[in-house]
Parts: sequence; structure tokens; C-alpha cells
Amino acid sequence: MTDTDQLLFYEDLVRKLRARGVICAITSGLACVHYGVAETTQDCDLLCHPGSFPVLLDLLAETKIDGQPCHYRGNISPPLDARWHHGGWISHFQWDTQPNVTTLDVFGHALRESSPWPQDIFGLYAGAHTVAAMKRTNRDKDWAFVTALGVRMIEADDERGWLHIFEADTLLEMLEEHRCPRDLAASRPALALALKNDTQLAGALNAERKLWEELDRRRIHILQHHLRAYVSAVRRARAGKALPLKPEHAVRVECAGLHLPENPLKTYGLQKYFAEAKAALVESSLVPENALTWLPDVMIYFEWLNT
Amino acid sequence: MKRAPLTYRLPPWTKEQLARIREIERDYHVRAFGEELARVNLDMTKEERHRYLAWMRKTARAHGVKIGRSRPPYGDES
Repeated sequence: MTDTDQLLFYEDLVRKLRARGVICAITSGLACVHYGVAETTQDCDLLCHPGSFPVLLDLLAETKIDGQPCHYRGNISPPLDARWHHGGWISHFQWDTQPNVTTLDVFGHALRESSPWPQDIFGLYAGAHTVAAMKRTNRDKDWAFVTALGVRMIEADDERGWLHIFEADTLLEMLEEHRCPRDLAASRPALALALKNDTQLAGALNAERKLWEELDRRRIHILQHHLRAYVSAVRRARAGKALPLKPEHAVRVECAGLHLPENPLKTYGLQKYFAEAKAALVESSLVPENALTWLPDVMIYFEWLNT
Repeated sequence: MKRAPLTYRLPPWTKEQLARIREIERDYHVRAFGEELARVNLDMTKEERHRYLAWMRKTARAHGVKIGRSRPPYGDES
């Protein structure tokens, strides 16, 4: 399967799902390429409404590529089940194609979504606002994409783009040309500093980025901690056998029911999670203590975990 | 239109305003991604961009760069 074939396959998968009434959209790296920011990834991240997971599972079970069936990736993938996806888990699938495997990561919720992602779909792809929020990770390479998407959003007259610009020069230049709404500036202290042409702007943007990186690092750590028992249980249950997708799914649901908490971040305590991330930034000297006042309230990006 | 639109509405900018936004955008892409990728991002169609990326991956592999699939963010299963 060539790279071009793979992209067509993913887009066709979305079309087939929509023909079955499923709300879904391609996000992350492939969406960045779609919106004009080249990323070399070949992995496909798919947002799919959790209420439609049974339809997606049916389609995956019947979809072969070059004769290869779809299966969960290794033992680590949580099941494609709304109970776990409402708590921020992701399911990972794979087809063993040549020369490269074809992968599909399924998200029921967009990580860090501040509004439901189905409200922000454009064509076969998630909207730029959703894609940019998902890119606020602990990977250095992702941050250039966030700012690039923010600029494109403003160019397209989508004011939410102001929330995604993390480079001081670009932010100041854009503000010379365009008005930033007051309510957005109120929700993001760095914007308020930029509007005043305050020299502390670069520090505030850096502090904000460091917070998102730390939050992502800690999120992964919390998930990792809970996965250990689940992975061992899946490994024992499979006993080295490669099961077809649906029996494999049943095994994972059973193991997850016993070993995988549905909503680990909520159980941990969201406020505790935020407070610890901020404290770690100060303790490690990544961010000076007085810079904490420049950080936005991040709760709106995690509210979906409470619903 | 080289890139996929983000909205069905026509932005209200004048020609001059749009030109200035694109100038700022290009400056940013050159700083963040380099001149070559800035051209890939801003001057190519989506199909051309995908072809370029496929060529990049092929060239990298031909020179011994291992391009694997990304693992789940919480690491290996072992």
C-alpha cells in the first residue's frame, strides 16, 4: 500500500462511517497536512462519537487491507468502549500491511477539547481549533503546528485562533493588523500582556506552554500507572494467540472491567493534577513563581471529563 | 486557493489586510519550519504536499533513517 493509497483509505473509512450515520473526523497530523502544515506522520488519528463505537468496530472487523485483517495494537490498547473513552482513553488498531503497517488511533473525545469536537468538523477533518488543542502535548515538535494553525484560523476569521498562538513576534504582528476580542484576552493572560505590548509577553507564553507540556507528561504518567495490570491481564488472556477483532475486543472489555479505571484523571482529582503540574514547574525552575499569574484557567479543557 | 479552507464564510479582510496576514504567516513558517517546508505548507496543494512528504519519507529510508509508526504515548507494552 503506497502512502497515497493509505490517505485515500483513511478518507474512505470516514465516508463509509458517515454513510452508516457515524459522526467522525480525521484529526492530528493528517489534519495538519490538510490545513497546510506539513507533518511527516502516516498515522491516522480518528475522532469518533462514542455512541457509534459498535458501528466502527463492525466496520473495522470487516475491513481488510491487502488481505490483512484489523487488530488491536499489541496488548496495550484499551477497548473501543464508551465507558473508557469518556475518561480519556484511546484505542489503537493496526493492519499488518507491507512495506509499512497501517495504523488507526481512535479517540472518543478530543484531548483538551474546550467544546465538543462534533461542533467543529470541516469536511472529513476535525476543525483547526480541535486539532490545535490536541497538539498541546509534551512533544517539542507539536508546538510549531499549534501556532501555525492559530494564524490560519485568524486568517479565516475564526477568533479562537488567538488562543493558539504561542510565538511572541507572530502574536504582536497579528495584533497590529487585527483586533483581539476582549473576552478572549480575559481568558488568556498572555493575550492581555500582548495587547499592552508588555515585555513580559515571551515569558508568559513560555510559562503557558510549559504548563501544557507538564500537564501532558503527568496525564501520560497517570495512564501508564493504571495500564500495567491491564496489559498483564490482556497478555495472559490472549496467551499468545491472535484472535479475530471481535473476540479480541470482548477479552479487552473484560480485562478493562477488572483492571482499568474508567476515568483516572477525574479519580486522581483535576484540581490536584493542575496544582501539582504548576508546583513542578516552579520547583524545577522552568517557570518563576510570579509567572503563575500569567497562566490561563485550564479547567475548560478538562471539563468534558466531568460530564 | 492552495490550502483547504477552514470556514464556509468569506473572511472580511481587504486585499491589503489579507496580504499582510499572509506575509506574517510566511515569516512564521520560515522561522518555525525552514524555507523549504514554508513553501510546501503555503505554496503547494494538499496533493502536492502529500507527494512531497512521501518523497521525504522515501529519501530518508533510502539513506538509512528508520521511520517507524509512533507508539501509543504511554509507551511500549512491555
